Amino acid sequence: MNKNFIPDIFQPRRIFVESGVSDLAMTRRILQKFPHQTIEYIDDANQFPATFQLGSDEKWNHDLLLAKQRGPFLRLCPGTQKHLCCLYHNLDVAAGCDLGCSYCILQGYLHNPLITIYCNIGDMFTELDNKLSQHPNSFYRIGTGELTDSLTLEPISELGPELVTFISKRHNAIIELKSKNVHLQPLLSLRHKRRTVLAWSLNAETVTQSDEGKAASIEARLAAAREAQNAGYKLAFHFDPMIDHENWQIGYRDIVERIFSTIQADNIAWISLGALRYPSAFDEIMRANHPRSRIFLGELLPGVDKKLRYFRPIRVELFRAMYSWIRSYSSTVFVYLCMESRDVWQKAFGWAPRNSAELKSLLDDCVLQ
Amino acid sequence: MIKTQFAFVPVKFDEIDDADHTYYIPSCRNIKPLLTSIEQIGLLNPPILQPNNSGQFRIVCGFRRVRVLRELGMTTKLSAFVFDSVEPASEILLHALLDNLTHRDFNPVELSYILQRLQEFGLTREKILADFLPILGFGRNPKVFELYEGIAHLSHDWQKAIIDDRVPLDLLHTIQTLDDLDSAVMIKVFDTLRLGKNRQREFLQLLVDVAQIQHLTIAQLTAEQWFTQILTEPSWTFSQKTEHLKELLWEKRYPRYITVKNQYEEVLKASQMPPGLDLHHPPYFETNEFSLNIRFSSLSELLQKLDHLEMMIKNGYIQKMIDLV
Ligand code: SF4
Repeated sequence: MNKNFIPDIFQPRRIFVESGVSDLAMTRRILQKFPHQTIEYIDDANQFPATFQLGSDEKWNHDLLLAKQRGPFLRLCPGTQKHLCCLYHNLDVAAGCDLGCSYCILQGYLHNPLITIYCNIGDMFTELDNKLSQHPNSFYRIGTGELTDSLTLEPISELGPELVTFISKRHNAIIELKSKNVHLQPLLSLRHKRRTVLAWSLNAETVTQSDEGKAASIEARLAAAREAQNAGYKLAFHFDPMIDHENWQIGYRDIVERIFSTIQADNIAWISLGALRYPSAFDEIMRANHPRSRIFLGELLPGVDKKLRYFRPIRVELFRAMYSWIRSYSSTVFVYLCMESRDVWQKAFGWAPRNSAELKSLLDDCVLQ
Repeated sequence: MIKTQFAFVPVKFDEIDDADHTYYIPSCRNIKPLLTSIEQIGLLNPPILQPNNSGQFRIVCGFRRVRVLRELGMTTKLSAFVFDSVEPASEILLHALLDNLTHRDFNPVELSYILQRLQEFGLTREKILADFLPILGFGRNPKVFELYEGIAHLSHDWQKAIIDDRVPLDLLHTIQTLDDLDSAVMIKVFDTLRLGKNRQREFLQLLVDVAQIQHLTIAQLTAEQWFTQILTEPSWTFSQKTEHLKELLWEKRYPRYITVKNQYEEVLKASQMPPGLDLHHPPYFETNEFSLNIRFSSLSELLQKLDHLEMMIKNGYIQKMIDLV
């Protein structure tokens, strides 16, 4: 892979539009970008998966659906039984991603293989507005990167600037845009008041090359992070999922070193660590979609929540090593574990938050300062 | 809707080109009952034919009937339905399918050949899904298409196992990713160990994974001495062989977990726990929660067991177990 690889902007092969959103400004704005594309109008996107048929070469992520978000946009992260959760809120602005990582759990979660952009963003801002005004004493860390990559569809949706501007005016929320892509140009000149955290998911180079599909190279992600830093943004990095692979120590240590030689530690809001995990029911789908990937050959065993995870000592080893490398560069950057038990925290970091509420408050502090 | 017409006419037997497989759907069914029936009461259901460009007739329906007639030496003349068009057409294939459906269901292997044939006729996947699968009784599910599509490429042994319902169909996705040799080895292992469907799933995944981990093919892995020795051990039952193989495959698939599990079992063994005192480690050592079960039928028995437990604590056995996780 080219050292500075940046993926092409997503070009949908087909575009479907749910009739209910066809007149919305965002829909029109998106369609204007594809003047030569045939648009197929459908009545109800919910009926779509049942009738949608894939051709043999159409496994995943070629088509775009512009639809209405019927449920709430904002959801509290469901967390996992017996694990500490950071009590994050997901803002579902889109579902699906064009980057195609082998470990992406969207392969199992999403019921259709399209990339959906929800175009009723007026409803979304009203919902956000209500939530944040009705709970002025609660602090919300919100992210758009749960069901999609936060930046990969940005050239099409152009939602980022609206979100950044909206959040910059709120005292009780921040938004985190988490990505493996680099489409951040329109965000750089905004008045964000450091209420947006621009975050990149990183991995060892070998994993990026073998298992992160069309994602931007590490070099390109770090270059984008530097640009974001120059534009005054708070940054975050996520090593999630960490993959237990040959020479992982060399690979991960190298990335930690590159972060701290590119970014000033005090601009980093947090770094998260998580090891490969996914519902066991998705194993077959993910393997079938990525037959050449070796990540499924790790010592992944079923946990209490029926998710496959690395055998616990392996996770502890990965986290402990990462923690010590990060600490060798910064004693203050907040490092947390995603979906792990207190015990794993304790073993890996030598300390653990008492509960999810404490973890939330520690993370809130990172952006409230 | 079939637009071509056909007539019921006499045809000379040697004008039938049964090597023309344009509409042939391979069948693994036993031909004996048909042979007996034709021998005893003659041909009740005439074949359907279509003229081809070389002045002969290709068979649309009735390959097995024509074969039986040949075997029985009844090869002079017969009456058959003959289409008026010469060009092969998917409508005529559909006719053949419908004719077959009047007296039997298609098994998965036949369905797979049908899908293959329909595609050879230039029909798109979408068209087959929309127009043909429902007629064949399989709804419009693209997953069904994907699943059955590859069966035609499997070996005879696999196809036989599928027809006999000895292997679960969902296994086929994985089987279809194997090369011919590995695929042949797999069915041999299944047959040799007489694995039930659930065990087949587990074994297949273990073998595929371990082979990949060790950068071997399944054929190479199963040719290793430890494997062949267990497989051919005359004094073991099928289930003993299966258990031994599974144990060794787990060691290779999950080496760190098995190491800890073995260490735990060693400590447990050293502690000489009496029967009726059962200590269980957390599943896969994922949490810290051990569980203890004490069975007793008298106060003295309970006290004895509690004493043993106390000894285990004092001598550090319990701590050793806890430290393992
Ligand atoms: S970038 Fe994220 S959302 Fe996109 S494929 Fe990879 S893991 Fe999935």
